[in-house]
Amino acid sequence: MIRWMHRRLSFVIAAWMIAVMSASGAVLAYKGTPGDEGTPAPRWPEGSTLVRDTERPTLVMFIHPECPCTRASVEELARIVGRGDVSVRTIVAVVRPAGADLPEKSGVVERARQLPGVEVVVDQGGVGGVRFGAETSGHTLLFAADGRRVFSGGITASRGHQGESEGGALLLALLRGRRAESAFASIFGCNFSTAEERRETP
Amino acid sequence: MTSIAPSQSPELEEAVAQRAAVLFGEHQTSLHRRTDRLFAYLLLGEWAFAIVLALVLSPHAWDGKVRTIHVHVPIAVLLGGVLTMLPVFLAFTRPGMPSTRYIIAVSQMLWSGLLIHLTGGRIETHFHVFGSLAFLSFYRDWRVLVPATLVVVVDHLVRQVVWPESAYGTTTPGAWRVLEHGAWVLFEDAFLVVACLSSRAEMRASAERQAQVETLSHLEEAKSAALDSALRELRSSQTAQIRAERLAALGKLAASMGHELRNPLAAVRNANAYVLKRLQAARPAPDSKVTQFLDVIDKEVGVCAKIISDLLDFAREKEPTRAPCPLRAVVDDAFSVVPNDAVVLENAVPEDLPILDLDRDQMRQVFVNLVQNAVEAMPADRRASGRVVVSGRARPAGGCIVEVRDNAGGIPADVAARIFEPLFTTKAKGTGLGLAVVASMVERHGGNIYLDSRLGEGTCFAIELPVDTLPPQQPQQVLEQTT
Amino acid sequence: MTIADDAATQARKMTILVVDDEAPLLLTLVANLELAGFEVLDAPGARQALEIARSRHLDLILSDIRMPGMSGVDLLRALRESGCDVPVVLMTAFTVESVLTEALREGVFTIVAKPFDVDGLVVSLTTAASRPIVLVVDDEPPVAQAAAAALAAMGIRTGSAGSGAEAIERVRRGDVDVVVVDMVMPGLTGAEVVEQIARLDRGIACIGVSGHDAPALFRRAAENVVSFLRKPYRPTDLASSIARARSRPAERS
Repeated sequence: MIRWMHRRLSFVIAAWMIAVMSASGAVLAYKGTPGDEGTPAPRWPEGSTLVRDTERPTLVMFIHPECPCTRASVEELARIVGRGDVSVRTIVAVVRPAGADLPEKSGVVERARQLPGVEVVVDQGGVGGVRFGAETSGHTLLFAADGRRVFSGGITASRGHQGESEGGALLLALLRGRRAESAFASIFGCNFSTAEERRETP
Repeated sequence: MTSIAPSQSPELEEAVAQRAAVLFGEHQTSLHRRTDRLFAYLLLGEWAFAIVLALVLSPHAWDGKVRTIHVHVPIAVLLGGVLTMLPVFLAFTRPGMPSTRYIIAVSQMLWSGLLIHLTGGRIETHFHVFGSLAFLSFYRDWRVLVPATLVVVVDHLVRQVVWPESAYGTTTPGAWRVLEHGAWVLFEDAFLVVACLSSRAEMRASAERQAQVETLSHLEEAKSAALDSALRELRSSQTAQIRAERLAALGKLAASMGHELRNPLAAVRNANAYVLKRLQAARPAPDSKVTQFLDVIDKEVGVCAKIISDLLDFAREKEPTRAPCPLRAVVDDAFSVVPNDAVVLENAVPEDLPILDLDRDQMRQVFVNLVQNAVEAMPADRRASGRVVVSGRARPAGGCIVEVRDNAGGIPADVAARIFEPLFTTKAKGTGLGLAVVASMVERHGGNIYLDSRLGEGTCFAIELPVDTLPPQQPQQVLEQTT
Repeated sequence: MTIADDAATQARKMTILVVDDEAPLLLTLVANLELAGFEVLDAPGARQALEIARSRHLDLILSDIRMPGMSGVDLLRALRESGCDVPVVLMTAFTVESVLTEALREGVFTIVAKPFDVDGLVVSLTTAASRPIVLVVDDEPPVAQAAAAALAAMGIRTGSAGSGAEAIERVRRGDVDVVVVDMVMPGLTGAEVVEQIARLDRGIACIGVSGHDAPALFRRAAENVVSFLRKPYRPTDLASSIARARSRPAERS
């Protein structure tokens, strides 16, 4: 076997390259597969327990406490709202789906709590998520001072990947006061509910 | 190139250059093999690390309240495994080959990508890229950096192309990122290439120096070996010269002594002969003891004469006058001269023994001495059955071997070792020259003499005589027809 | 009658001059030779010897080689130069080869080594005084004659024969003491000649000579031949062999 491999070295190398590229391709595909867009509320939903800021924009990010990809979203959030030329009320809602067997503490949540000026609330049962229409962990919504939604989407370039992203750039631009059209970016993160449950929910 | 030796011949320089090339090649190959193995272990370590990383950082994914194994884990195991398998295999089965290290380079850089993915794009993980490039420079082969750099660039481009941002049509900051990363990579590459080249040059110089040192030390060894052998030759020729000088002095002494002694001996002998004759003719006849004692005088004078003859023969070193010499007849001659009563002397020299050109008188002397030695060595209890047999046979290579065999009880080893030494004797009475003369005469004929003795049985002296390779003495005055 | 008695009978007619610088040796030698029946004269040196030789008829001169002043060889040369052809026998205690070769070239009868057996010496001297010849036998007459001539040039009395039969004829006539025989001859071979001469029992020494390798003949002749020579040989080598052959009776003790 080994001698055969030596004799056909070029063949072996080619086969290897193909395997590597396929696997890498699969990885990239996965990484680039966005999560469910959800049905983001066009306006700040009435009846939300979350408090909106009327003077300045309000940003809400829904995260799953155990989703590994969300760490990247949180880091990106920290980067964006931590900027000096950005003034926004930031809320991180931690969705704890009903019936999920989640540990008490979460690294991501701790990280979020550490961020200055960021309010962390627990959304037990995912009610808030449903109300705001967020289906995927890392889904970020930006509402203008008048309650109008101006941004919905993820702020990572791919699953669990820190760094500059389309969404992040858009959000930043909006926060800085650029054109306030409704913008959207792909969200990369874990689902808050299974596909079955989603079908069930209206 | 620094040269240690001042000036060398072109052939020597050529040899040094060749050796240097060989050494350089060997160093390179061993370096490549070691680095291949190093990377094999590194890759295996990275694979293990990746699996641990996946299990620690992102073990689970959530789909609502359903917990599944995060994709990172199988990715770490499978893609990590695929990435690692081939380079490790090549590193252990084909270490040192260029294909091995290129595959290793590609794999290592792909590992950077995988680790970056597994750690969620952490900035710090990007350092792995630069670290890997630096590790690859251990090969001191700048060509390795080419596939490595290509992989990094392609990886970035593919990510750019495949991920959905480009769907928006704007040049994202991500694109510039690629260029920025690329620039840093090229920057590092430039320095690494320079480092590789200069390391290579250093290795080459070091190989050249080593080759020179090796060559020089070989030369030195050869010189000292030659010196050693020259010294040995000098010493042996000095010893030979000293021996020759001693023999020459001995010869001179012998010459003057011979003359001084032989005249008085001749006078004594003559006088004795005269007295004896007169007494034998006298009436009344004298007491028998008188004639007896006169005989004693004559015999003892004969003994003195023989001793002097032996000594002078030994000292004179007369060149043999070679003529065809049938040895069987010479042995018969010798038998007739040796004083002997009880011991049986047998001439077993074959009739058809090849006839060599020898000095008949000297060969007779040789056999006389050997046979006499054997007869005198016969102990009293063996005398009745004492036999001395002289035999011979032709040698296949030419010449012949003559053996003088006796059953006189053998010679102990310590005596046998010195038996041909002049003036060495175990007899109470004897000059110790007899066998020395034999050895000397045999050697002057170009032959050899050997001794084989068995204690309790007897002794065999074997004389090897070569065919005379020198032409017979050229006549200086050729006989011409009288007109 | 032994050879010695024979010689003694003959010796009464012969005059010998003994030359030696060692007085005891001279004295005892003279006494022994007189006892043997010679008329003996003596001289302590070569110069005196020459004077005696000029004034008296001599049958033989017996002289030591190494003497102060003129040596025995010088004496020999001087004698020959003055036309005196008396046979000369030289005695030596220990002499360098070159001097011996020189002596041979001058035509000495034989060289005797001291100390010698007196009886043997008497035989040799008697033979020498009777001026025997060396017979050279070769089936090619020119070769035999050339060899004989070369020896004669050195003062050795010679004769030649062209065949084995002729040689034996000549030997029977007497006055030959050494025969130099070519081994390979038609008719009687050298080996057969030597056998027949030995049967004559006259104490004639034979020297075998051959240009070819004739091992069978050599072996057959070996016991009757004093020494062999290979052709071509130097005349001095032959003279040396002859002188050695002639010294044998004296040395055999």
